[in-house]
Order: sequence, then C-alpha cells, then structure tokens
Amino acid sequence: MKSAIDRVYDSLRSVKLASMLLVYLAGACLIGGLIPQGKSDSFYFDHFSPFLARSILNYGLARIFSGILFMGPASLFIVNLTVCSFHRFTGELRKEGRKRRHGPDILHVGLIILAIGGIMTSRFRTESSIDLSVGSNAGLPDKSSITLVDFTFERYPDGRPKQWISRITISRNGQEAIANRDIKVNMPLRYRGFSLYQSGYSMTTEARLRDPMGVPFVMREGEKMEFDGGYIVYMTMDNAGSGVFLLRDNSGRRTVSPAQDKKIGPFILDQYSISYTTGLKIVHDPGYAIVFAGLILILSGAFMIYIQKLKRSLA
Amino acid sequence: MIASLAFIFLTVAALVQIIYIFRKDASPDPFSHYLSLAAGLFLAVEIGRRSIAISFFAVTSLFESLLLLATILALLGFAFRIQHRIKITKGIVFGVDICAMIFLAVASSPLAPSDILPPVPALQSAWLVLHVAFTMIGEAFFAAGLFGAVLQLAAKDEEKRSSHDRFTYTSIAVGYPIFTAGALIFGAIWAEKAWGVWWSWDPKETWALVTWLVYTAYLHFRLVRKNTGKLMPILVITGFAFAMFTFFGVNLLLPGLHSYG
Repeated sequence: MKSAIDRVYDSLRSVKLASMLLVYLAGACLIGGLIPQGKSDSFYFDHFSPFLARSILNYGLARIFSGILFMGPASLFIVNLTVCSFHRFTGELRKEGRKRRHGPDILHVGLIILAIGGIMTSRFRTESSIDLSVGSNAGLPDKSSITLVDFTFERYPDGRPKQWISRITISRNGQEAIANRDIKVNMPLRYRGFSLYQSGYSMTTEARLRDPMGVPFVMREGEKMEFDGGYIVYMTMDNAGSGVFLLRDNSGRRTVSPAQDKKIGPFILDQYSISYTTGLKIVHDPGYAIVFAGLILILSGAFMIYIQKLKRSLA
Repeated sequence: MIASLAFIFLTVAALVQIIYIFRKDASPDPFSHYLSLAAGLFLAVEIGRRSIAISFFAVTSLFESLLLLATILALLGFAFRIQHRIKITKGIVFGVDICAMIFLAVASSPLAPSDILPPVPALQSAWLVLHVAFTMIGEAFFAAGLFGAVLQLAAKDEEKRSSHDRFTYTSIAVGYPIFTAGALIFGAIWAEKAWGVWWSWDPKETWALVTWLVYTAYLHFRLVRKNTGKLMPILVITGFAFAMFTFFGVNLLLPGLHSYG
C-alpha cells in the first residue's frame, strides 16, 4: 500500500495530468485569443451582448492570462513538469549510458527555466520612453546621459520606410561611455542592464525666415510671430512640400503658402526644413538572460529528442 | 508565371493520383512524385528570384509564406514517396499534393497581394526569417499528419488504422520540434529584438500557442493511451485547424502586430 506522500508524488508527476492540463491551457488560450484582452469595461458592453459582456467581466475572461483561471492551472502544470522531470531524469540515470535519452529532460528543464524567467520578467521588467531631437539629450535610469547625434530616415525608392537609425552617444560621470553607436529596429543597444530600442519617430517641419532688418529666425509648427498690424502663424507643411501659414494683416485673416524668397507679411521666407525626433524605448528586464537560456534549452532538447529518435530508427 | 507552372505540375500529379486511387492496386502511381518535385523546384526558384529582387529572403508577406509552404509540401510529397521506412498510401500522397495546390490557389487570390516589396524595418531580421521558415516547415509536416489522421479515422480495418497512425505520428514527431523552434522560440527572440518584449499575448502569438499546446497534448496522450481510438487523430485534425486559423484567421479577423502577414 503506497503512502500518502507516494500517492501525491505519483499524481503530481503523472503524464495524464500533464496531458489534461495541456488541453485545459489550450482552451484557456483559445478564449484569450478570441476575446480581446485588457480592454475597458465599456468596450465589452459596446461589442458584446449585455449577458456576454457581464460574463466576460465577472469570470475574469477579459484578463484571463493574469487571472486564476489561467495562472492556477499553469502553476500546477509547472509543478507537474518539475516533479515529472525529476522522476524521469533519475530514472534515466539508472539506465546504461548508451540507452539514456536526456532530450526530454533538457526540454522540460528549459520550460521550467523559461517559466522562472517569465515570472521575473512580468514582475520586475520596467519600460520607459524618451523622445530626442538631434542635438538634445535625456537622462537614463542609471543617471547616464544620452544624446542624439543624428537621426536618419532611409526610404526605398517607392517612399516606403527602409530604416530608422538613431546615432547616439552616452556619457556617464562626465565621460563618454558609448560614442556614435547606431540604434535601429531589430538592433537594440544593450547598455549596463538596459536595452534601448528604436521604437518610433516624429517629424516636424520648420520655416526659416528673415525679418525686415535681414535677421534670420526659425518658426516651428504652431509658432506665432507678430509684426505691426498683424501676425503670422506657421501651421504645417502640405504634401507638396510647401509651408502653410496663417497671415493676419490689414486685409484680414487668410492662409498662404509662400514659395522660397517670397514675402509673407513683412518677412521673407528663406527655406523650409524637416527635423526629426526619435522615439527610443528603454527596457530593463532582469529575466532576460533566464528567458533566453530557457528558450535555448527548449530548442536543444527538442532537437535532441528528434536526433535520438532518428538514430534509433536508422540503427 | 513560375508559380503557375508549378500549379500545373501539381494539378497533373493530382489527376494521376486520382486515377490510381480508384484502382484496386494499393500502391501509389510510379511517377506523380516527380511532378511534385518539379513543382517544388519551380517554386523554390520563384522564392529565390523574389529574394534576389529584394536582397532579403522572401518570407515577409502572406504571399511569400504561402509560396514557401507550398514549396515544402511539394518537396515533402516527393520525399515521402522515395523513402521506404514508412508506408505511404495513395490517399496521403494525394492529400499532400492537394494541400500544396490549395495554398498556391490562396496565394493567387486577392487575399495575398504578390507585389515584390523589400521589407519594412520591423521585418529586417534573421530571426524573422528563421521564425517564418521553421514555422512553415513544421506546418508542412502537420499538414501531412492531417491526412494521415483523416485516413486513420476513415479506415475500416485495424491494420490500415495502425499504418496511418504510424505515418501521422512520424509526421507530427518530425514537425513538432521544428514548429516549436520556429513559431515559439525564434518568434519570441525576434519580438524581443524588434519590440523589447518576448511575448505580448498578441492574437497571433496566442493562437500559435494554442496550436503548440494541442500538438504537445497529442504527443503526451500517446504516452499514456492506446492509439486505436479516435482521440489521437481528432487532436491532430484540431491542431491543424488551429494552425490554419493562426495563419489565416488571425490576419483576416483579428488585428495585431502580425497583421502584415
């Protein structure tokens, strides 16, 4: 007669339990894949019938992946996986060396490590964003300072975006820690436990003008310049590349699009220019290395299983 | 043009296979797999041509993904026929070819624009190439397993059921680690590099996980249950249905980061 501990151990390491939990988790993910997650309450009432909306909210289906309906069975699955992996590994060790198959053990341990890394990531990962125009700087979470040296927006001949490149410099304690490094989409910068990603950009246009004395000045979108009897406001650039101004003078108020060297009010337009602001995402993820290690172990284990099966079938 | 030629080869192969299905002889026909090979090679040339045109491996659109999937299926159809370890029935040969034809037909529909466009910044990643390529290879094996499962359900005697079960299991066992690598591992690494987050419960990611969980359940149920019942083939068919919803349904019905295909 098995002891209570043995019966609990056998239940927890059971492949049947694992199989049933896998089916349950698939069902939970299916619900999470069909019902939009993390929306406001009013979203569900707008998009579903009142009964369905109430059911979704009352049973936690709107945030299923962080709720007990998912986390409970997922946690039990990790326990099952751990106990099963221990039992299997110790069983394999009792076999003769050539007959051992550790592929499933490596894959299962990879899943456990992935779960640990995932928990660390979900609990401790932090994310922030900074917007930088060329020449400006901002502080990083570790008190370093990042400066945008240059921003390049490369396009294909058809106008589609090819690449956004932020060239940055990072200083720490008055000294240059990183000089002229490029950050691109899919090529983040790893720096002192942080990762900096090219996450976006914005574009503003500027109009360069001269006043009646010949003194140059710059107007950014939305800026106003007054003169005797009126003012101009630089609004935006149209699709043809001409600036659009709001001009108010003795004749009234109207929009105008002066060309280069033409007058607008008492001012003369020199040229238009485009300036970019880059959007960088800064992420600190203590679980990064653990998640990555878990993924590599899962990959290794999966292929080891396959190769061992192939070897046996060819033998 | 090249893809159309491949479709013609597959159509001729399928017609030959249909004729042999109605023959009493249990063996498949002696030459349609060479037509499948030719189709696969033509499609591979088309993928190569598109890749050279954009200076990047051409797997960055729905059209190109379908082309790749059809290529792998056509080549699998040939590979299944020339190997001798697993018995391949006429139904499986026909099913794999028809599957390749269906994917090619969808690729030629308005759902999958065929413009040759170089990738936008988010798609310029070797991890993306590995993610798509391995996923398509895995799903090609799952497609083959689908037909084995269907024939297993339809079989009237135990020997045929067992034979189809062996083929189904082999297909899934080969496809599973490849799909795991492609859909989940390389996909997660690409997401982290592009957007700074391993997993965001995006609809595409969630449905890929559903697919993976179903196939994982299939492989684990096989350890504890006899393979003579209906549960195993039903799980394989369900898994493939979810794989196809992940591929098509999410793109068309549910928006997210993967919207471009």
